[in-house]
Amino acid sequence: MIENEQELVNGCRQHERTAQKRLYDVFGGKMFAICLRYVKNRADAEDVLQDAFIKIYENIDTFRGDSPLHYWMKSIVVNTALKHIRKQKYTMELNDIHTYDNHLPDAEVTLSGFQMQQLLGFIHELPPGCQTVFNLYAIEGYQHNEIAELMGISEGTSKSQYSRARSLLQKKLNQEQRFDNESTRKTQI
Amino acid sequence: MNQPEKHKFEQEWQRAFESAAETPPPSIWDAIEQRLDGEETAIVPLVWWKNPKVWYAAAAVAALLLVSWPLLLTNNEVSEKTTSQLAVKTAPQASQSGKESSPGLTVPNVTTPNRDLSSAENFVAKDQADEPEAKRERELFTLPAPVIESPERIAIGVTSQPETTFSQNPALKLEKSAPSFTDSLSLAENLKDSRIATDKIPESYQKKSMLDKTSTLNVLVPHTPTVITITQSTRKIPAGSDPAGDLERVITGSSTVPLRTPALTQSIAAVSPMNELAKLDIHLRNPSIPVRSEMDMEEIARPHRSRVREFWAGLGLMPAAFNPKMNVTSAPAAFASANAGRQALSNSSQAQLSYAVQAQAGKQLSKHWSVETGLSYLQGNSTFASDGYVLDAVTSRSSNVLEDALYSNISHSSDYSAAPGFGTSSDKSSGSYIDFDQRTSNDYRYVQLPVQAGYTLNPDGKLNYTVLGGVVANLFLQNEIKTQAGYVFANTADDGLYRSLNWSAATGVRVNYRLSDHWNASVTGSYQKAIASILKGDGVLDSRPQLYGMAWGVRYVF
Repeated sequence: MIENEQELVNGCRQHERTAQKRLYDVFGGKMFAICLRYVKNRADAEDVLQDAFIKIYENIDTFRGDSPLHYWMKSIVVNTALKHIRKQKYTMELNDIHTYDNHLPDAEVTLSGFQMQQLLGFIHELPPGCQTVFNLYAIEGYQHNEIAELMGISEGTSKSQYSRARSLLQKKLNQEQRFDNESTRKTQI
Repeated sequence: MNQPEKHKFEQEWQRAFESAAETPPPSIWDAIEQRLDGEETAIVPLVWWKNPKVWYAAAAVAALLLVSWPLLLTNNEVSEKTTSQLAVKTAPQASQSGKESSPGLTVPNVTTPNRDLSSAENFVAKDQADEPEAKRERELFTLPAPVIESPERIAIGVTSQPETTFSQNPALKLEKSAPSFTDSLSLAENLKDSRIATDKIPESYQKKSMLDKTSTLNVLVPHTPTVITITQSTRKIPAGSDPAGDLERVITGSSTVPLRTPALTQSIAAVSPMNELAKLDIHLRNPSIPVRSEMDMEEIARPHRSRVREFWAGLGLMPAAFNPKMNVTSAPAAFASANAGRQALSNSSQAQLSYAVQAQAGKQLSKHWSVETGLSYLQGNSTFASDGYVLDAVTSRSSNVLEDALYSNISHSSDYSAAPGFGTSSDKSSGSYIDFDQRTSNDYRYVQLPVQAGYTLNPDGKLNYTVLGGVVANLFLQNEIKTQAGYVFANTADDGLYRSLNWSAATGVRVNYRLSDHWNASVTGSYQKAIASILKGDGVLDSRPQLYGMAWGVRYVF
């Protein structure tokens, strides 16, 4: 695949439909999973994916190949998803809460026992602002100052939203684990 | 995205989703393909309408029309009213003259459906009561059916006979060729087709009639007893002939000289000529009675002169669209190093709602020309949009393209310490460019000193229009850049980033409505464009602001 990546890019630059389709086939699934994390429903995720791929094809000339192609594509997908969220005014619910805990203790969390769909469900249950900040910080790996720039919020708000998201998710994971443990125990009994 | 300090919690989530994939439904690719096909074939024949400038200009014109249209209608009504009032004003004078007329006077009984001429009718009726013997004469003026008749010809012959011949000779026949005289203008039109024939007009009068166009009726006011014989005949106008041209002559003896001038026609139209003829008749019967007093004649003949005021002062508020046209011409260092493969940096400025508070003063140089100046405070709001921002690797501080370019720009020429937050990191190449759309508010404050010349159309009207053109001196006060994250950087003239003075060319159209003798209300559509860049240095930035505005104001005329 790596060998063909440059060819794929070149084909897309030439507006070759087969290359464009191939790019979609290769990366569409991963990009769709990202879209699903950012928006609340599947229909919105499909819209975001569609817009993102159009952007990718239009801006393929700007990709210079320093970083892996999927990183570059991922940044465009995230960007498009944020724009979509902004349009939907999900971020209106963001409150500038400054009473955040910047030093959260390491939680003893193991996600190995959870299905991806289950985790996705937990993320979707988060309030919209928290969901975006959590995705950007925990999964995409952005810093809070970058998130603040991206979302047009203050750094403090980003931190507080993340703190809230993390707390909610830990609670949720603990609940699920306790429930699983109880179920296992009952089964053993 | 280095994250050495990330906790286990985040690492768990990253691991869980790093290989996540979900097959999208096939309909998505179909939709993408359709859009790609559409984009390839899409032809946009006219892209100008997408330009916000066009919309601002259209909005300004529409607003001007919206404001000026009802006022224009009002103005027309006022003008018509003024004409009517002038006609009415002449009637009492005629009535007064009628009272003083001799018993033997014959007065044409002119039926005037126009209400404005009713005073003349009253005068005639009164005269009829006083002079029953004049009935026979009046019958001559009974208007026959005018349908197929040519325009009447009124020949006024001035002879040296010391008495009028009206009573003896029913020569004066006024035939009304038009079905009705509905207004003064139709009377004037009718009179176009009149021929005035004079005999032995004193030389002084002849000269006066030709030279003094504003007092054309004075030609009919002799100071010496003069008999004027008025004869009338009708004729059929052959098809294709020009009766108006034919009739615009005064026959003096055997020679003809042109008498009717545009000014004459206007004056006649203004004073309702039928009344004038009636009064002329009175005068002819009794030369001691003047046709009109000198004052009245002056009143009629004098054109309505505009009052040229010397000075005016005014206040106004101008909602405007201010666009600094900020353009990052070359990429910031961090951008260049982090994203060198990219050909161009995409950035643009967009106008936001701005306003200017204006104080103005002007001087009228002539009837049409004026010059004006003033003092304005302009709050120019705008947004700068770029497709990414720069993240400093050393300080971990992010800066948008505008901010980065702004301080890079000034670093070429002078004090780089003006850059807030960048004082410790002068190595711009240590930053990385994050490819993400970003909008930054970019607001300016200026004090403006405009000097403009104006040419006024319809200066006498209640509603008039002034076309303005000139220059504006813009004194820079402050620029405030506010990032999406809420960071605010304020630059003043002392920071050395902006020129403290820059010039703009200005033009506009003002619609001015005269509220009272001293107070005027005005709406002014303005456009300003900076002549040179407002930024110091010749680095990576260029900015030539433009402004579209609609000023609403009041003026006091001294």
